[in-house]
Parts: sequence; structure tokens; C-alpha cells
Amino acid sequence: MEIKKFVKDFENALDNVESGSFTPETPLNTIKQLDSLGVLSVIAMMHKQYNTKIKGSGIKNAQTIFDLFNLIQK
Amino acid sequence: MNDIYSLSGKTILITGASSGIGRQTAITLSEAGAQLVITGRDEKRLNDTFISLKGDGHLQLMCDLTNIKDREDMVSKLPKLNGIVHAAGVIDIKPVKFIDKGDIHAINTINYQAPVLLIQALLFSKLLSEKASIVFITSISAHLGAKGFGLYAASKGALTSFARVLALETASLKIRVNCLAAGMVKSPMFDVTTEAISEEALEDNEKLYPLGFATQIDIAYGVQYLLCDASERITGITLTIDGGYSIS
Repeated sequence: MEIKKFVKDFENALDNVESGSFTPETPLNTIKQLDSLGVLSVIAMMHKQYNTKIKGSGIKNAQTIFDLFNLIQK
Repeated sequence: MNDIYSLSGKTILITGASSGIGRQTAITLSEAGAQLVITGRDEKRLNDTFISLKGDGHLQLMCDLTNIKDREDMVSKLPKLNGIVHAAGVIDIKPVKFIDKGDIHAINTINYQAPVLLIQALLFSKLLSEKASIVFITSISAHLGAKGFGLYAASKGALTSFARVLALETASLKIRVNCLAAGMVKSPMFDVTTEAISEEALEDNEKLYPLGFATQIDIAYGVQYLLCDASERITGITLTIDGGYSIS
């Protein structure tokens, strides 16, 4: 599982994000696109593309994109 | 209470009675004197509802409404009905860009197809008494936009439109058909929403409800009204129970 691909999928899940905007270390609380619809989009992306079910609180508890990557069921 | 609100002498079928709004409605209607036929997919939880019912002579029938054989079996065991409450339903919260064909099929099969096909079978078998009352539990999301609720809103919207046509087609039998549109209600479905959206976001959402979120009992009393003789001239409407959300 590659973190680079995950960051790309994360960017793609959100609206108004240019490719290459984020790194694995980008703090989630600095991503303004991660509003209520953004959170739903990331949940749906992780379910559809990574077969991982997370909750809204799972995103709230994560600090960075890398933390979300670590939630993927390997 | 005035007798006109009583359901004594009425036999009512409730789908989705093993949990949530369906379960609470079953209990409330039994307290109002109704004879109930409750259905659900989970045997243990359905029985939990059954033993919570007040009065005697109720019936419980296990049934997966999306399964044609289950549905036919259940219909063959039904007595003549004075009312139906369609509370069986599921929710799937997902932005449009992640929806696929399977998601649409899954939610519509339970929220839309199942009640339509059940009503078809009941009408065809003439199992609805004259003056019967049909109540569909729908949602304010059928009329309002809520991000992520596309699948759910569309399934309830379809049911709402269907109900109006059914109301006209059954009017000559004095059968009434109404929807009860719930806003956010504290129920197992609420917990699914909380998981997806986060508790903080829901707390913010509740501030948009002038009277706060409705409870399952609020919904059950609304259903009782639509089933009893006090509402015998009411058909084709949607009764909204949303703590004032729609007007805020």
C-alpha cells in the first residue's frame, strides 16, 4: 500500500483541491475543504477504494493524512 | 382520552417493528388498544418488541420484505387489516460522487420497492378493510436538501409521490394514505448518522431545530393520529414532525 497513492486519492475525494496540494504530514485541521461534505467524502473514499470503514470520529481523532492511511485494514 | 383517538378494534400491520421508530410505534399503538401484526428481519429483536406490547392477541411474523417468498408467506398469514405502518427502512449517507448502482439498488429495494410491493399484494388479496389507513414513515429530506443524503432522500421522495397516487386509487374504498415525514429522530438510524457525521456536527444541527430533535414517541403519536378515526377525512398529506426544522 503506497502512501503517495493514498494522498492522491484523498485529494481527489475533496472538492477544490489541486493535485499535489498535500503531503502525508499535512495536518487535517489545516485542510479547509474537510468540511461536513469533505468528511463524508473521505469516509466514502476509504470504504470504496480501501475497503476500510471509518467513522466521522475516526477522522476527528486523526492528526494528519498519514494517520488516516494507518487506519487502512492491511 | 377521547375515544376517537383509540385504536381499539383495529388490526394494524407494522413493518420494521424490530427496532427504532417501528418498535416504539408498535408499543404505543398497543397502548392505544390496537391489535398488532408486527414484522421484522431479526427474530430476537422482533420478539423483544412482541413481549413489550400491551394487551393480548398480537401476532409476530418474521419477514424480509425484500424477499418475494418471505413477503408472499407473510401476506398469506395476515388477517384483514384496518391499518398499515411502513416503518422498515435503511439509511446510507454518501456524497453523490461515491454513489454506485449497487447503492441505489440496495436502498430503493428496502425503502421504496418493499412497501410498494407489499401494498400491491394487500390490495390484490383484498386484505385491507374499508376505511383502512396506510402510513408511510418518510423524511423531511424528501423535500429539503441535505448534503450526503441523496440516496435516502430520493428513496423517501419516491415513496412520498407514490403515496399521493395510492391515496387517489384507494379513495373509493375509503382507504386513506398519508406520510409522516420525520426530521432527525433519536433512534438507531440516528446513531448511524452520528457515526458518519460526528457528534459535534449533530449538536450543531440540533440548534436548527427550534423545539429540538423529535423522539420516537413523538413519531408514534403522529402515527396513532393518522390511524385513528379522528383523521378519517385526511388523505394524501405529509404530516411533518421535525421540531420546527422546516420553518426555521
